[in-house]
Amino acid sequence: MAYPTDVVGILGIWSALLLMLMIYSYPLYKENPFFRFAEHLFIGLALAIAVITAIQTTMRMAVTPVLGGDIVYVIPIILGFMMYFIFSSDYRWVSRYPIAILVGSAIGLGMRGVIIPNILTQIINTITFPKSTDFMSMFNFVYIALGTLFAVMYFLLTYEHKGAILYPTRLGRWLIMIGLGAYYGNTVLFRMSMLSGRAQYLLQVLRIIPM
Amino acid sequence: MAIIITGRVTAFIFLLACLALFYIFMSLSKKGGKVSIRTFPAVAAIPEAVGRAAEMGKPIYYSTGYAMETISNPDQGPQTLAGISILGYVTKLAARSGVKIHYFTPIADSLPLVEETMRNAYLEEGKPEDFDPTSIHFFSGQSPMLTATLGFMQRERPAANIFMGGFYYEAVVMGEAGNTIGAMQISGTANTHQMPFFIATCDYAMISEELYAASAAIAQNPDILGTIKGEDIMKLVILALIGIGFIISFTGTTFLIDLLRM
Repeated sequence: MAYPTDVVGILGIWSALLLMLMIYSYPLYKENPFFRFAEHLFIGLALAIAVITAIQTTMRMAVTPVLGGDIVYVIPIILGFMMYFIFSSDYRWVSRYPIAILVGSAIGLGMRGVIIPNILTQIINTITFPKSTDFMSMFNFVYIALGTLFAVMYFLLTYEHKGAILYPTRLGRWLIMIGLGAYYGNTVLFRMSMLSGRAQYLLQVLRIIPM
Repeated sequence: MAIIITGRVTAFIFLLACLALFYIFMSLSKKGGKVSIRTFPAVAAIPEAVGRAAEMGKPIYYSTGYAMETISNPDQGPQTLAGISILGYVTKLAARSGVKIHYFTPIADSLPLVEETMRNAYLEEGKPEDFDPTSIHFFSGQSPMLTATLGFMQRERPAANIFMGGFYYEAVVMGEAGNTIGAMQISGTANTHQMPFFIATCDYAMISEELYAASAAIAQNPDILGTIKGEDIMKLVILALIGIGFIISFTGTTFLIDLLRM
């Protein structure tokens, strides 16, 4: 993208830069009127966009099909309207039904993809003997298998972690923490790349580096 | 069309076993069978957090996170529901101590449930007039909620922040902002990618299924307690399969793997 030459374009990139700096003033300094202005502007704009998107989605996904003769879409429209009974003190209970249908159907649909990838494939991969028997392959095989065993033991929720399972669950917790530590480092690197992206934008708008 | 599809038989048996176990333990639990959930320091710390807020005269901040902005997401929805269940408990304690609780969410379809839960909590404490619906703050997205949270934390300086639900990138920002103001922080999420941040920034953190178990222990709902017990039995079966499979793999036997692939 080249540096804009028209007034609207220049105004756009400078507005973005100023708002970005207003938001950054929070971690770099403290809560201040500039941050508050950017905060309220952002929340208001996001709400406006959400309202427009919701209207457009409702029109496209429900109203247009109904007007086109697809009567079945009346059902979700009715369920949607039922949510608004939350504002009535006498009929608030009506709003529970669409939520129950929403949650129940979603969980039912979600269940079909759980057992094979999340349980069986994981077990199979854990107990499949490595093709190569060099030290690292064997170490990984044993580490993953025992690590999985101890980590799953940690998540036995109806047994107190004492007696025979005290040390295995404690080891499981340590192994989980090692895994989460690796995750942490990975995400921190990703966040740093996001920060460098913002720094790059700052330098581009100030024309220190090319856009 | 074949009724029995190769590669799905074991999965089907697993599903049936799960359902049977859930049914058995739900029935037992309803008939008065005791299902005890192990102690979670994070849950035990909730009264301390509310007490701290009461002593300081400051509010409590509570959020169930972004959770894909819907309770119909099969991964995130249950976390939000668990978070709302714990919210009911926290609201009760807050109502009892006269502490104001502010709930932040971008999940529009959870609002009726949240309002009902909080209203009931105040009602059960005999203070229905203290319930303020404006303490439920809805935002139209993840980032707006996060930005509002940052401002709220600096302006209101809550004594305790409780994060229970499906959190995404907001976890670390909220946790860090709460740390800056010295709030006591308790969290729980089943989103693996955000657990490290909660562990690093919060005083107490629950990871993964601990969130669901905590909500079951608090609600003492026999159905949920029964499913937790059933899940534990399935975990023991999985542990046995991994243990046996690991040992016999050294002999070159692939019998168990073939069985699981059936």
